[in-house]
Amino acid sequence: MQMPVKPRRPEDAELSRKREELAELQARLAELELQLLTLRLELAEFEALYHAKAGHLYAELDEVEALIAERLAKIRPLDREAAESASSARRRADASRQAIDASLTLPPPVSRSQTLRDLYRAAAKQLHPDLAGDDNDRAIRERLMTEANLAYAGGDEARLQEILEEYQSSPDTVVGNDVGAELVRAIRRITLTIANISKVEAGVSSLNSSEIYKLKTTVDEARKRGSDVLGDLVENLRQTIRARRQHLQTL
Amino acid sequence: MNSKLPKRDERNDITSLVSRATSDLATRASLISRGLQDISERLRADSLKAAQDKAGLELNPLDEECRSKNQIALLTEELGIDWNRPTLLLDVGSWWREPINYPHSPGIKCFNFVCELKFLPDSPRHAKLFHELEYLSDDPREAGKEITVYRRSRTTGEMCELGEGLLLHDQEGGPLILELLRAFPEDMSDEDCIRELADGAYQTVAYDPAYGNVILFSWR
Repeated sequence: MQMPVKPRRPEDAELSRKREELAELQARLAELELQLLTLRLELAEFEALYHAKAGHLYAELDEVEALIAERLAKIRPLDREAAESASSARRRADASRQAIDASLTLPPPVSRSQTLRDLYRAAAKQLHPDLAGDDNDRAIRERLMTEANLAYAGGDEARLQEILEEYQSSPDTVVGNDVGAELVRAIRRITLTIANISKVEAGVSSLNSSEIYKLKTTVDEARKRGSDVLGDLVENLRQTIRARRQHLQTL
Repeated sequence: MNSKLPKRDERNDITSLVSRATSDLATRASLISRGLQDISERLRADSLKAAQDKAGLELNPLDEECRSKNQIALLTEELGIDWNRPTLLLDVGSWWREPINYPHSPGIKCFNFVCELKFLPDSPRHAKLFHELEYLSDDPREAGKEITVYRRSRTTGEMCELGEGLLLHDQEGGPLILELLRAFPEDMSDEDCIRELADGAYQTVAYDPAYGNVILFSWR
């Protein structure tokens, strides 16, 4: 006996369309969030490398320049310009030292596999705090998303998998509601997801126009042409520091 | 699966990296700006040097002598030049490009700058210099004063040669003209050449050995 086909209600069809739309937007958001986090990590890693190689040499050079300026000011106690130069050089040296103190520690290099990227995308789609049903769910999602960011940064696929499983098995993820409420929820989630896409796009754009991005791009492009511009900068700074130290000794 | 998972200390580094990547950025920005500026300048200088090499023109015997920063430092020391204390300020105003034709040196451009004498310390030696600039020579065959123009980093004081210059005086009481010859990449527009010359990260300076004066050019 043939079973009668239950006619699909218009609200079911609309809910289905909204869910598809939401799924597409969430996939786009997850991709963008992956892009943003990857960019942020790459820039942070490059910045740490830059400070370890060149940044501390600038600070050292500024310290030597400050010592020279202070020595000259001492030799010429009535020279107001020399005194001003000395205090200006000292301010600059202090600022550079603070910058080095605030610089990032260089972590070990991490290779991020395609599997890791796929897992992170899945995590970003499932765990996004804006998809939370209530405050409790939001708190869980925020905690797990932070963990997922760290796991991605550390290249830890196993941990990412655990995080996903932890959330999927959580009783807070089980919800049951009527079609009307689901539809309203889907529409609101779409609005939130679109807003988040704009925010993440703005974040990527802001990083792409930052000086550290320009510096990294310049270094990377020069490397492709066979030129180690960062190495040259380091060598040049070392030579300058040596010359300025010798000058300091003559004063 | 990643076979080399981070250890506990490394994980702390990663946590710090993620959390601090965007914090304290302003504090660290100055060192990043300096690196970017120095590397960009180095690349620009390399590009210009390549253009000069391609041009293959010996502008002046001093070119080779002054090419490296160390040699400029030596020259500075020998002549006792204090670049921090200019004795003459020339305010650079309008400019035009003079057509020149070096068939084997297409990258060489000649720019003329109208300069106004803005600052003259009150001393007989500098007054004599003023005279020297005002009436460059009675002999029409020596209508200009040859100078080598340098650029000097405002942050490090490092110097490199900018080009060969000639200070001219077209008419009595009128402005001075700086004629500057320099090789540029062939595809660089005149406006970009001027921006390159007037880069605010540097001072434009020259030395007049006749009266021991440091000339500072101020770009409007």
